[in-house]
Amino acid sequence: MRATSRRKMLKRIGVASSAGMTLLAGCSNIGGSGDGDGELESLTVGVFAPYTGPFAPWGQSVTTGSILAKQDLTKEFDISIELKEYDTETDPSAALDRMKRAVTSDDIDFAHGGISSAVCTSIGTWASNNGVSYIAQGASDSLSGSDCAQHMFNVYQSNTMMAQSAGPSMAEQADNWYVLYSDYVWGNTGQEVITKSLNENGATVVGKDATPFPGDDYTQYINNVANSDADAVALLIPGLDARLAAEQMMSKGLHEELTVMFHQFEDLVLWGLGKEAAMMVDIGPTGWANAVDGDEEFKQRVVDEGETNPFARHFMAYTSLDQQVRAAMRASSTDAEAITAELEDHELQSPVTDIQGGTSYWRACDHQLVQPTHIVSGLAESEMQDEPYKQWFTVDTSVAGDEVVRSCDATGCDL
Amino acid sequence: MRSSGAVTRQGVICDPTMNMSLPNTGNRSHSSAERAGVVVLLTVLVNAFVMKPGLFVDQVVGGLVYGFILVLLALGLSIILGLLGVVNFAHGALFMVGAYLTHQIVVQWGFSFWVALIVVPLLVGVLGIIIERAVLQFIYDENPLIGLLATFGLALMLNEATRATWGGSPLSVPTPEALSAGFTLFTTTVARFRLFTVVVSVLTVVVVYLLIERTDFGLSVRAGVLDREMAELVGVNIHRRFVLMFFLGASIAGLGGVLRGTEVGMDLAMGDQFIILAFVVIVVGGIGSLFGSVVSGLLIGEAVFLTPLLLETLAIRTNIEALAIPGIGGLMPYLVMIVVLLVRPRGLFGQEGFLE
Repeated sequence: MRATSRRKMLKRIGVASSAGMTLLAGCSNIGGSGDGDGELESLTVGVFAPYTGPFAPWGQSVTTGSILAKQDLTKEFDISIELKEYDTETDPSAALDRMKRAVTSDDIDFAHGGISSAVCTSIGTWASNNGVSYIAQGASDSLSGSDCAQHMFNVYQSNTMMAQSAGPSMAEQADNWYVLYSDYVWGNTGQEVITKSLNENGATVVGKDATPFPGDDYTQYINNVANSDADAVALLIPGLDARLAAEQMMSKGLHEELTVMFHQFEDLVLWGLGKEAAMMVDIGPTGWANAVDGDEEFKQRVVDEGETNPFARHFMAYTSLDQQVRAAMRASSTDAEAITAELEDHELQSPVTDIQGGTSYWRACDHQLVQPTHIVSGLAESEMQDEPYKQWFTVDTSVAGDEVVRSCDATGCDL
Repeated sequence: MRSSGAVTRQGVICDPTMNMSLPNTGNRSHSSAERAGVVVLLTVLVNAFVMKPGLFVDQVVGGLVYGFILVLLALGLSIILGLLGVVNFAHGALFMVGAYLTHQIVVQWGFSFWVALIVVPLLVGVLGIIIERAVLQFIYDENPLIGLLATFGLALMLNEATRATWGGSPLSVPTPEALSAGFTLFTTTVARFRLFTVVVSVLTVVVVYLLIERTDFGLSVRAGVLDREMAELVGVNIHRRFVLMFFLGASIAGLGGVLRGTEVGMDLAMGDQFIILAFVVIVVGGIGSLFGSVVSGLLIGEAVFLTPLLLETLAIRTNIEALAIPGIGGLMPYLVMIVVLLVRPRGLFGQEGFLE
């Protein structure tokens, strides 16, 4: 209740400031949707995405996924949904400023998005503390662990879920692994769980390097891999940096010598490099890929709406908005407490399940969406599809979320 | 007019315009601490080579290649800063535009990479002229901060124009067949394209050196930088020369964009990412010194690649694991900058009084 009060106080300050400003400007058009109980007729949702910075190419996919969800929800519930976009820049501080503005000035009802785990932690913690429901797209274990928050939920599979899914395949394909990981929260937690998973499955980590993110050159680390005893390399490098690392590995010819694993693989990374690069993906644990056997219409709509190829972030953004709006409709309220109560332990029964397949539910103990994780690999060039959208990878395995998610006790989350 | 300058307090032969001369360190005595430092460094280098010869050679060659890439990126910026006194924050954006124009020419229009290699620097150079004529010519005599803010604004405009034209998704350009494979160099394999970049970088440095130091054109430009009024009084058209120098600086940024964009693809952040490094290279080398930029680029390249290996060697030899600091390579440009500025506040070959 304390959090709700703080939010209301912030809103009042924001509204008072706005009213003051608009009255001073000779304008009396003060509006915005409320958060009280009753039938919901309109919603204002903050869409947080990196439209600039190292994750910039990911930004539009968050918007596109949100637009598709909005279209479906508007039709189903006859409700007006306004999407307000905020650029996170992949900068926790800049993103936090925008979240504060979104809540206090733009009067959003709830929010979703953020790609970087550091950004998600920053805006999610503040939103939750101030009584605003938020669904994150980061994958760091800390989001559903030490940094979990009362009104923050995590739509993307956690590092542990992906590492546990990939571990058996990795150990089966190679004994000695070298781990290159980005030196920030996602990479650090990722390398810990990957190392643990490899050890548990009988493989060995013969070396590991922390790499700066964003980085401009991975050659020095690739040299370390080439001069080690590794017969496989795990790349825990996000965004466009993964593409750079892949390109530089190819330049040294390592992609032909080593088994290559891309952690939290997203198709977009290698679309820009071409089909030869795509073929180097031996193991790619991912939250969703367009090769997942599911709703074909959704994939085509992404192409039509976003003029791009469907990948994980479209699905995650769609799921986030779908779930928050449905929770608000069930609760007849946009109050964070009410949305949280509706989401906890809720099993998904919406178009999302047709797209993802399997069973998905929001776990109450850490607010993680427990859903299937997929292991993909690059197709042979002759089998790669370009129309109506690029499908260069195939799903080798899909693992049920319950099989790979951490136990509640192991998360370190205290909700 | 003079083409070489006086000896500064730091013992560096300093050209007050664009210093390409070698430092004069002949009379400088070395302290015992410096000697000890050199001995320790050499010992660690030899140890690293003995322990991991393959990796050592890999990192030395990798550092050299990376250093020359940095030199190419910093060169255009250094020219504009050194000759025109403009802190051109739009240099990174010009570099990015060069990469995207390469995509336009090679992928969308179907011309070969070699056409782009020639045409793109010219186009970016013309863009540089437009920027110089429309904005910068009015702020040459102003506080450098004004130039920095103006070019920062230009960088934002170029970024958004690029996003509007080519979109926010990453793009790539196919590497030409002749440069696509690896090349065996000593015991290591280096991408041919990276070696090609080194060759282009060296050629560019040589051409710029000859242009500035060995031609009447370069002489008149340097004269204009020293004393614009006097140069104009003797009939030198300084405005035209400054425009041409800006064209040269922008062209080199475009050339860097062609090479980098073809090597690893392009995105809207590439300019921002490299502009910081380019500034670090210039500051370490000494603002206004082209020779300093070359030395600095190579020094930083080697520091980035060799330091992790050296620290790992030290950690093994001393049994102090904490010495092998994870991710130290990425910090090296900034650590090198801190150390150099502590020892030589104007950078390795910086000029006394320049932009001070």
